[in-house]
Amino acid sequence: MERMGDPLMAGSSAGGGVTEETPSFLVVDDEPVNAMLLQMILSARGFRVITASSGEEALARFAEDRVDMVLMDIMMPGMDGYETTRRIRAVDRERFVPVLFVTALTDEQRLAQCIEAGGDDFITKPISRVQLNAKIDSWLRTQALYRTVTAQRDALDAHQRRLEMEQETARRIVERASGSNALEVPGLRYCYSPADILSGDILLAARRPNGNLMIFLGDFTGHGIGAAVGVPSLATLFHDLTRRGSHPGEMLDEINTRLFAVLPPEMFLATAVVEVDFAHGKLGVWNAGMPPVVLVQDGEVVRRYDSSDLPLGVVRDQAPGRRQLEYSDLLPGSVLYACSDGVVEAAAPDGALFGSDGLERAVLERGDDDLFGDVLGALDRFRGGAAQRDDITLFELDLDRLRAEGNETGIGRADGARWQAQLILDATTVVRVNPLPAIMNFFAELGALEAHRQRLYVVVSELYTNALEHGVLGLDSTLKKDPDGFEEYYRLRAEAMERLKEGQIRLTVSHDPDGDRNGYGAVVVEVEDSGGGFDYQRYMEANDPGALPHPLAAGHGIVLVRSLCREVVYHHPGNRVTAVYEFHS
Amino acid sequence: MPIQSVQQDNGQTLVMKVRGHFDFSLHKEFRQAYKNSEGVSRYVVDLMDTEYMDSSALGMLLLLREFASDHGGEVALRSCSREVRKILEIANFQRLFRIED
Repeated sequence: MERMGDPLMAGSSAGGGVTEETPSFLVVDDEPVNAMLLQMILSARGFRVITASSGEEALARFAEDRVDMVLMDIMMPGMDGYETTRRIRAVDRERFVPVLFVTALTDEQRLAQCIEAGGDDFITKPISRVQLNAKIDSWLRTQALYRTVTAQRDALDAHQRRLEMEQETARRIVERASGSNALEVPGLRYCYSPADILSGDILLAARRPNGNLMIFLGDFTGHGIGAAVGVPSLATLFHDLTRRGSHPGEMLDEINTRLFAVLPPEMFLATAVVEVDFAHGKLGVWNAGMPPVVLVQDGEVVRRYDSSDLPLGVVRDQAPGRRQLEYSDLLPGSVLYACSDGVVEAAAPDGALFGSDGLERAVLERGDDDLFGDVLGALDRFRGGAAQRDDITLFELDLDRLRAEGNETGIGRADGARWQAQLILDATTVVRVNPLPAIMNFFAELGALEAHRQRLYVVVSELYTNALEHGVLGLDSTLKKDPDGFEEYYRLRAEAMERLKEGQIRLTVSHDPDGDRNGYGAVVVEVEDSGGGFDYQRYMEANDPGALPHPLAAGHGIVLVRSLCREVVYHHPGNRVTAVYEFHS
Repeated sequence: MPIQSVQQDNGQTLVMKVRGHFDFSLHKEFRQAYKNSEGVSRYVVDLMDTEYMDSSALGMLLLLREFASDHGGEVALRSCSREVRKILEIANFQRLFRIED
């Protein structure tokens, strides 16, 4: 939305520079004959003329009327021409009104005095019409030029101020979106030096529900506004996905998909991602288009993670799941360094680049406490006074300190946890409450992968819906097979819900860490209803949804659940079902 | 509104976007979205913002398919997440619908 007029446009249309109006002149002379002569010549050209017969009167006229040029006599009783000119100059700072002295004096020193007093030129008496007109035209041209330039300067100033204000607002939005307080992680130090007010570099940190720490360093192509616009939505996406428990690989696929959809073709996001898995003592790194991420132990580089993939947002994923972090054991005494290319591509005056070895040298030779001072200092010296061309972000992760102080596993430790949740819903409750969103949030909190959550949703949803609609409400699902029946079915469902007085559903969800044969956990979902059961064997015989008479026919849900679970067992007479879902699959 | 529908290509394409949980609670609204459409030859269900879907959603898609073929149109499912796509594939819906990116 446009809140202010565009100052550039405003400047040129107001035409502060090129005055279309008739120029007006102030003629100052105590001799009426001289004044009249000048007035005649000027009026003949259509100019507007005001006269004043003394310095004092000239000042009064000048103050009340907007004149474009002054013709000034020097020798006058009272205030002379020099003084009058000085005073005019004192009031007129912005508009530039040329003062031309009209004088019979030829003494060089007097003429110099005219200029010192603030005059611009002189016209000699006796007045020659040709000379007078030539000088006036010349000064009108100069004045027009001056005014145009001033107007443009003002417009540019206003534009610049507005731009800075907008950038400042944007900077604050970007900063808040990046959630810099989330970067308060023990052992994490970082520095961030944008080339402009806005930066296309982004550094984010968040915990997955299982307690693992994720650090995301990104660098949008370019710098300044264009690069920074993507930052807030990326930050939101990262925080959402991490909080929801997305696996890092899934998260990167998702970000790639979104960026590919929204970014113009020439823009992309170089990315380095770090995951610290406290429970298993692992460090995972993925680098796509960033300078090498470096692991240092006891003053030596023990590992370099070079860019191994295309940056995010470049291509549409053909084979999702390809992006995997490279995991290794967390080494004692190790520190991880990563930076954006503003560091390695810093150029010396002779064109040489700081390079990734420049960063490694600076890191290895640094003093103990002031890494960033040292690295930035080294960079400054290297650039030799040249301006910073790109955003610079650099971080250090002290893994010992992080493990000692930052190991918050919280409630999210799904691995190894054995838990059970049971909901017993009576008739009044099933009418009012849908337990599914709560259960899905619970899985998310416990760190279940996104991939598993959709499948678990289907399992729990189908079994619960069957228990409610057939067990408790006693509806006949064969109704659903044509459009009218479908509507009718849901109309009957609503009616039955309204009438419902009796009935119960017992929904139990449990996690067994040793539940599957491959050492992965399994979720067991058990649903029991107060109904009389059904002919479950008929449905258990159909293995393929295609084998059912109509895709909308009863039992479709059961087939879906069976294809997702290791086992689905109905207990006689069919009002209790147990499904085992493996995380391994 | 969990379902947003927009007509495109001079009204020949109807795009229905389903947000959040795609389950039985949307059955009326979903039907409403296409029931009175006229001159539509292509129905697109955009599943980009669909968080979860279950078999009643599959049922609703089949009803749409029936409606479309009665009116000489076709149905495409667009922008499914990997997981939603997996559910569609388990149900063999790729045989019934065009699934596009």
